[in-house]
Amino acid sequence: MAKRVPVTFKGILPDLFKEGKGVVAQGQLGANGAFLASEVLAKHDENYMPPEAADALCQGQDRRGAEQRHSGRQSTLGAHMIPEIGHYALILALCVAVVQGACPSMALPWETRR
Amino acid sequence: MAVAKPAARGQFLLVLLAFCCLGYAFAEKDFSVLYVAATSNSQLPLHYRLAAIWGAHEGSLLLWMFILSIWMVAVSFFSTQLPEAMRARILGVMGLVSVGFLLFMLTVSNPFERLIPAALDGRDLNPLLQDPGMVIHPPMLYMGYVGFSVAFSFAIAALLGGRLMRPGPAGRARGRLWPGVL
Repeated sequence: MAKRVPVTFKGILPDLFKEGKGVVAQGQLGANGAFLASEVLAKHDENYMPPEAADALCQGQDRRGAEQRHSGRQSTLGAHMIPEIGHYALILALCVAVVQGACPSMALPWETRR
Repeated sequence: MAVAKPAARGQFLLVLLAFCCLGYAFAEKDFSVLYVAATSNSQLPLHYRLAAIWGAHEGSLLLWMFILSIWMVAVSFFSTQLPEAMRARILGVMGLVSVGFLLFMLTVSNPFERLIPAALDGRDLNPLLQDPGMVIHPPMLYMGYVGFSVAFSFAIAALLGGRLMRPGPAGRARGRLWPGVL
């Protein structure tokens, strides 16, 4: 079903408009098959960050990373199997859920017998 | 059949444990967990670190699963007036729903995946998400979304039994129920 439609738009494009990026164009499809957009909105995914914020973040992290290396702080070991416990809890939960999910099939014959 | 109720409660406890483990990893700034390193930071205040549990994909699914198991326990406690078989079926259907989510999490979206060697610091929660609303909004939203699984399970369980909402012959009841589900 993929089909190419040329889109015409007169005006200022959003800053995020780039090659290969998705946009939402609102407007009308002309008789000649070209789409005349009255508004173009840029789309972004959940990883999007305003460039200024990303820059500030990078700088802050570099500085902090350097401080930490100076102070020699390392993440402490021990008592750090907690994520593994969480992981195994999920695996166990899956086993329990399978048993629980098998219940309707056990309940069916019971019900029909009654 | 009697296994459904304890299974639902046991599953809730296990998912609660998993949720607490991830919460602990965030609270303790354990950047050897990939998900924590990707969405948290040592300078982030505690309430945002905890909100970062649902700050990205993997943890959101864990929250989703957690809320599903809360609903499951709620059903197991507040459905005492229902016939035993009906309740087992409802919990069974919810169990199948959670099998799907747990399988998905454990295979391709595991929030407990390790990052070795550990990161010195986290990449931080997306600044756009550092808003008080982030602390409360996703859990409320998921509460509602996942709540639909209860209605879904009741409907599917009624179809499986074909008896609960039957004023006439079973066939007619099915005929009226199916369009409601589909």
